[in-house]
Amino acid sequence: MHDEVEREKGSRSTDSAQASRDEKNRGFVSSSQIKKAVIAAAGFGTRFLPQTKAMPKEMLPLVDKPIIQHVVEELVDAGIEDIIIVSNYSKRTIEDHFDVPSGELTKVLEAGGKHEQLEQMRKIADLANFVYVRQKEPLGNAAPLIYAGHLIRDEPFIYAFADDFFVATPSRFRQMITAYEQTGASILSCKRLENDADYDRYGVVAGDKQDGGMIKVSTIVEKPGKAHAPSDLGSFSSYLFTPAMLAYVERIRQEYNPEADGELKIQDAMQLMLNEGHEIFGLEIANGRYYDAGNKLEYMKTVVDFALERDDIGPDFRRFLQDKLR
Amino acid sequence: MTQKVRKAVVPAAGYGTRMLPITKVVPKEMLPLVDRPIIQFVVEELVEAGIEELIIILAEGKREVADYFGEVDMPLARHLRSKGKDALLKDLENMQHLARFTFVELIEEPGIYGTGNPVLCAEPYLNGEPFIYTFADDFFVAEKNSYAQMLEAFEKYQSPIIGCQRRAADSDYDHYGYVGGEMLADDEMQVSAIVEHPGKANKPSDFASLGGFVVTPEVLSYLHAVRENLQSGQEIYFHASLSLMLAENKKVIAKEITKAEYYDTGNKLEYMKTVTALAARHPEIGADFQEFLQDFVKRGKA
Repeated sequence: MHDEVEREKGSRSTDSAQASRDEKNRGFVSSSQIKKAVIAAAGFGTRFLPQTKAMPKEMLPLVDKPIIQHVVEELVDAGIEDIIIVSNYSKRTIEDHFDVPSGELTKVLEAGGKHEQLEQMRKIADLANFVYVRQKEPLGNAAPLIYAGHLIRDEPFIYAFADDFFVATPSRFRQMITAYEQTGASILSCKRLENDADYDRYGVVAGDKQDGGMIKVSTIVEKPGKAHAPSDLGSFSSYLFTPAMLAYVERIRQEYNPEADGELKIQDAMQLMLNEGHEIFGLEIANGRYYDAGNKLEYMKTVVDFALERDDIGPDFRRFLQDKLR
Repeated sequence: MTQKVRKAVVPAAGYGTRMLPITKVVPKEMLPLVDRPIIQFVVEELVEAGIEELIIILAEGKREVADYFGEVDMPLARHLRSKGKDALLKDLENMQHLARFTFVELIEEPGIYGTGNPVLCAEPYLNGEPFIYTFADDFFVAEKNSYAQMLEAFEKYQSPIIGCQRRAADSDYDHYGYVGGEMLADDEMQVSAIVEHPGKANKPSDFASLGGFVVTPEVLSYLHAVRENLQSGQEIYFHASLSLMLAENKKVIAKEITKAEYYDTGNKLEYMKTVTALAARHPEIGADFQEFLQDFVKRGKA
């Protein structure tokens, strides 16, 4: 199913940037104010070492496409124009990927008569306005917003990670933007926790139930454990924040004591927001599926799922698995 | 006297256009098989077979492979130490000592491409020694190291060795180079002909050349002859140098790599098959991953 979504996106990205913008203006996102997104890509990917010794984990392929490109395409599809990638010293591969193809690759593709493929590679550079910011220290999941805050200032924005994501219809980011347009408040993409171990790995939110699959969040607990969890709704993968968030991130940074506090967490900033009367809604992503590519096993499951769903290799790969498992 | 084979030439300069877009920047030899790039499987197997010096040919301006087998960057080292992962850090640091690495940037004269070119680029580092020539986007998982099998044949015959496997699917004949000749043993052939992509109708045998080569120094002079006689627009095929030797009645041996599974990563489907097979036997996730695959079958999804 998501192969179709992908192809749709693929054809969109082959249009010129202008045509792509026109199309968006006619469609769903015409009124969306959400134009900016921050992608956190400064992790070391230690769970994928040695592979990630010289290659960012965000560039791990889902068959033939880096994970971060999936996330970027989903953002672009939801109307995002400026994508701020917060990375570190080792992430030049990401910058090069979202640039025009190298002279050498261009020569090779031209020599092979692969003009359409060459055009596709050029279009990756036009998907969005890419901005790169270096995160100088691995301080926790709030750190990217500290380094990117000055580029966002007073606009609502999406904050996403590139090692887990949802494939949904409409897309996860479109659902979040719709929820923002209804509430004017920050939105967390959520899903129900399925097994006990999830309560030790994810943030759990609780609050009053609203229409449209939302709750108005009153409590955010990071990794509460099953026994102490206030609900079974987990906060996963992405956030849509009002600009107020930036001030709270700045505040937890100022009060931060590296010896005592551990990591700088967005959950702490969100708790401050709630305490001071800002609304935050948890949105259970509808009609979709969550993929975690942040550890080896889940990454491999994701890759297999993606391969099976493809038109080009899906049927042959399915036959291969059937033969192998018989 | 037998000269020990100490060197290997490994081209890692292909553009992997069948794997785009991931290979837009990432070299195809660096594609991950779960948590290790393909080229590491090749390098480890070469080292296990006794190779001490690896001459890796890189595409112009591409440093990824050299970085991978190089020093650990300071921030990563600091991070691993702070997390108490000193053993992992030590493993990463030791990668640069797996062998003596020489990285050579591929020089392509206009219009000169093909499997012979990396060898010409490596020539200044070969010092007239025999060497293994092998690619880094396919490999064997064999009961007995595939390169060790080829080196044994080299010791026996003191002639160039072509690593082969029997490939008899109809499409294979359009995909690989095939050799034909006289069988010397169940798994050894004295080669009399080498045919690129013969097609099923014209196959000289079922021995497909896909396991790399053990190359004697004299092959290089034949490769130069190929290079000098190249017509404009032609590629330098490494096989062509061996064909020239055959034309002069020199001995070339094909060695079948036995008890071995061949893994190719050159296109999306083969890459997926290879990743899946290796994930299923991965020491850390293998058991869980197999369970996941079995669940697919039970649910009727696969």
